[in-house]
Amino acid sequence: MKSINLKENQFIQFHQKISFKFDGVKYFGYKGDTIASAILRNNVNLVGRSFKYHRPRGIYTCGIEEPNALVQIISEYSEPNTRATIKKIYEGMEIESQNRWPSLENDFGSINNLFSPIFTAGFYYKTFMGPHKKFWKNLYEPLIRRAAGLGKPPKDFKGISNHIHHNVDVTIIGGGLNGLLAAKSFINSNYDVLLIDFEEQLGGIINNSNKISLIDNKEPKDWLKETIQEIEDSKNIKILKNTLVTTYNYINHLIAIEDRFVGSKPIEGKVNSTLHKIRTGHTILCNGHIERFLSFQNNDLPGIMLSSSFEKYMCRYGLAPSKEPVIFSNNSNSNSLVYSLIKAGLKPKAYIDSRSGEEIEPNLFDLIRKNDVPLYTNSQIKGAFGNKKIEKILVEDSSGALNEIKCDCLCLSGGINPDVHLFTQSKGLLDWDEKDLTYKPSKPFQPTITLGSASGQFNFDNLNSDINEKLKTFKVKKLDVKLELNTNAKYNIEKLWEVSPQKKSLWAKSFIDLQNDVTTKDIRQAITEGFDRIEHLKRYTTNSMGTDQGKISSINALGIVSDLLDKKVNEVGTTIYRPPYAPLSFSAIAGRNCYEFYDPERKSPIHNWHLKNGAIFEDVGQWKRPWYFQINKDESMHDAVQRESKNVRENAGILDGSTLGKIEIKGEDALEFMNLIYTNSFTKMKQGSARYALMLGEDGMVKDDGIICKISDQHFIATTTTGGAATVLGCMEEYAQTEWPNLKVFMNSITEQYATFNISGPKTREIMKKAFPNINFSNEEFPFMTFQFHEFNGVPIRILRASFTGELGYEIYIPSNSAPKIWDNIQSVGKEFGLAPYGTEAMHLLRAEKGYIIVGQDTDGSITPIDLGLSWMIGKSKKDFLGKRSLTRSDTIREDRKQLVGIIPSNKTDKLEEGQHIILDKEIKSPVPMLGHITSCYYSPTLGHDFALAVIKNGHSMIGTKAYASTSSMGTTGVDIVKPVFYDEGNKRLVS
Amino acid sequence: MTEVIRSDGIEIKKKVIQQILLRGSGDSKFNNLINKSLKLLPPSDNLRIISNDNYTLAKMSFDQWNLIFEKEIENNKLNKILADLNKSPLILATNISDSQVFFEIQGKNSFDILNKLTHFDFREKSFKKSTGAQTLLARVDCSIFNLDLKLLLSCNRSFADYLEDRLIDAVNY
Repeated sequence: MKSINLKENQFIQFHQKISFKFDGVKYFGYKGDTIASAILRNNVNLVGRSFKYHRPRGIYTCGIEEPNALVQIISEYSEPNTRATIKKIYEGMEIESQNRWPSLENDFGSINNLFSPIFTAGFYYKTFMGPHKKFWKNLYEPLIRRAAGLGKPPKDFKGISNHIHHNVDVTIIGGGLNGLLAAKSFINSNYDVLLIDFEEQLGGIINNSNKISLIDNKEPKDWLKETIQEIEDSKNIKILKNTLVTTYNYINHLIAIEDRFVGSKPIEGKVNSTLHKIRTGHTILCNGHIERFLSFQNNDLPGIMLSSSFEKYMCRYGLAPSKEPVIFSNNSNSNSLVYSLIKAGLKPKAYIDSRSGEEIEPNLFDLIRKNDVPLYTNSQIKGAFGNKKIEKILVEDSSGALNEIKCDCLCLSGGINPDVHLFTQSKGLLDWDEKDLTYKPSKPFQPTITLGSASGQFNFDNLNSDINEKLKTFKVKKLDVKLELNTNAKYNIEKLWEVSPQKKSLWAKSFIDLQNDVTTKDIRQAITEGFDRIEHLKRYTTNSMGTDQGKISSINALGIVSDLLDKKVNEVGTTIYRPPYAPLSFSAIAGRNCYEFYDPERKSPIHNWHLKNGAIFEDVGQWKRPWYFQINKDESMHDAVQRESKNVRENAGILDGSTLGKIEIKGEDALEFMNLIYTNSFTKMKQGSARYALMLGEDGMVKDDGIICKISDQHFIATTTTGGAATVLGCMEEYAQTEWPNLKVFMNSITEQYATFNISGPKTREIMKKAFPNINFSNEEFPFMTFQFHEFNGVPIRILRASFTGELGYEIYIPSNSAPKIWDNIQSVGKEFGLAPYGTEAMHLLRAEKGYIIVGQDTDGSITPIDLGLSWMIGKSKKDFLGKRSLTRSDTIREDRKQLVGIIPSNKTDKLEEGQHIILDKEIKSPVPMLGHITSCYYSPTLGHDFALAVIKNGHSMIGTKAYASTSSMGTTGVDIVKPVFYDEGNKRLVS
Repeated sequence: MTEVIRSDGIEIKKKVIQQILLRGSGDSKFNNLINKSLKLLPPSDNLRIISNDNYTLAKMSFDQWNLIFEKEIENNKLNKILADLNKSPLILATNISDSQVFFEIQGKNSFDILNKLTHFDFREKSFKKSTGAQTLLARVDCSIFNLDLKLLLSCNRSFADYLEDRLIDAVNY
């Protein structure tokens, strides 16, 4: 195919040469060229290899619908599967072809073409069944995975993208003639309008073809310039160019991707693409139509392209891909290509039309005759032939005679379809138009309007009335635009989906889906095998799948299927077009929500101190909590945790417990509310005292726990687990608003208002005395499970005497902004008593020694308070509380429920692990009757051996017996089942 | 107050603003109690903001109001207001001055930049002056108060560093 540059073109800057590399060879194009137009300019025909048979492929289209010309952009993070027909070139761009080895010209994979008679539809399903199921995992799957796909995934992920949200009244998709006219109607109206176009230049058909000669008596390009200027000047209209709408969600939510570096190399560290998320009141689809191809033998050869694409290369890129293309059509859409060629001083080598002479438009006839173009009516192309490019075609004329025509380019037109992908994504319904042989939008499901060829209006007769009628719901200006056309023809088409080959051969291929190498033979075979439902057929043959979603071929497939089944096309139906319209990169979907922004982080008021003091953090929900503190880089986690926990037992430790949930509850009925929410009774509880409390779900299972401080019968403060803070507050609100609306009670979260320090250990009282010299911390004045309000250096604080470690302990609640200062002060006065910070892992160890549970670790939503041995926390005399009824269900009172126990290894040097199963037999014989599992497990520096908490069937009555813990090596470890308290069972240290 | 970022058409400052969270039924008794204490009648329309020289009072849900002190007052005065309001069991007044961080945002590009982080509709017709909103910004729960010439954006203090980074990122990218 030898191309020529046309003299004038407003979009290509012929004075600005650009060099780029394709498969290592340097070529030149011009500013404004796509990869495809630049490659065609350099007379390169072979651009890629097909997916299955590795057949040579060239450039088939001039837009987003391209099935063949997919390339890898090496200079852009090795981005694969980029459509050469839309990606603009820039200086130094490096491009590689895909799916070939060792080279595009000599591809080893093309051997598949020889075996193609066996690679028919359903090949994978039928072939990879045996001889043994292991073959699939060990041989077939690895091989198929290696061979699958087109491009190679990039090794580095460097693309930067961001997201922008829009809220508008109207979104117009498509900036072609209809889109611009619609936008023009909205100029300076009260509607916020977004006009989106995929191209850099608005205009669509005005730029891409010679169909229109005058608009409002002006040259189309002059009218276009004026109109765009008017729209740009309008305050209520925003234009997004280089932006492709990929998704139309419910309700009128659109996703569009904007290329920020069109025609230039993305700058490292700058946003390459923007994902627009648009919420709109109405969507006006003006996204035009797509031309179909035709199926005949070797219809995939390089040098074959769609008619309208050839014309677009001429009008939009100043390039005629060939001096003498042959045109093959069954409709009037290619008429303007004939006009454009002749206008450019070229002419088709032949014009072949399947229609009879009577059906062909008179002005096309005149044009063809005047310019001596060989005309074949009632004719069809039986096949195209050539070595890696088209060299000749075989035409069957009206008399049935075969004519061979030598050519280097063949332009096809099998008709046009409205681009209905977005309309169907919006759940709009389509109707088959028997006259125009295409599906057209019928009933919208959302506030969606279709205009122009997107709505199936392939002629311009009703342009004004159609727009005015469809936009009458808006208070906008009425249009009265006058159009004059160069090819004054009404759209006319004759049914033709496929031309059968001249000679039958196992190797003859007539493609229906170029990207997935699906042939018309595959369609026939699938139907013969019973896949006669269009969705089944799609999946069995992979027709209309892949990155192009069969944009130029899916209607043809429906036509062939309808003929084979002897049904009407609308009876066959259509497959569902799912988003995205065209592929999106993962970086575009992620936006800025990656790396450091992958998940929001929450920090306690003491976070910076932790950072400076060697804290290693763990994620607790979104919180960053110190897991343990490393005193030097060589200290292991085990050593740090052992040191920290030992220090708490011997001296004192301080934990940043600021992340614990805190809720203030107040109101006339606060007492009754608390009695209903928690299992405990708070009625007789003294003011100023605190109580460990359990919250259940309606199913009677433990949902959360915490300490309740009673300020008065009308005022409480509750703590919750870190992870349960929002859930508990939400639960309280829900019950207050829906179940007990009669109760006058309100609650506020104070989690973030107060930092919490937990100080524990035998020397804690000494430290507290020194830190807060005005407070009496004696047992008499400040007994266990009481709290007091104080003011310290002008800061109101609350101190609660409670412990989660089993040692003497206090919890200090301090307004967050004042917390770092007081933390520093406690650290400073605590030094002489050996005070050291400890993290969550040491806290877990210490609480487990004492037998304190952690909700979510030792419980899993199936554990009742009775299972935990916490029956004493249930206010039995209370009339009601959340979950009470469920505690008397047959399931919750049965004896063999899983219950909390302690586990120690019979041989104290043996190790235990969380998650180990507890079983009765030493030998593991399948099936293994499982008693339960270990929920928490640690090595205790105090005990000198491993210990664990576990939930096992009938656990309470098994205390004192022996069992086994399964190991990961299918062995067992002997264990003793003991009480779940390993330290200070009499609570002497707590109340010391 | 610290400057977070100043760029073309946007200026973001971070500040701690004293704030009281009020809960109550919103009936006439409640309104009278608030009015008596603050000399300000609570707004009855959801998300409406009213102000006087001392306070800004925003109704954030059917039984929740945020009392914002744009001008800082002494802590003992704040505690007195708090104690005064809490005298009645019909009101739960909680000091949340330490639990939230505010970002003051000004400039013609403010909405465009914030729309990189939130789907919220900032258009004049949807988000009028002297109204508030509760929405997600960069996946974090935030309140936004649309005041004359500026926006006040608040989030829980634990998210403040993260949100500050996201705001800077939104300006830069």
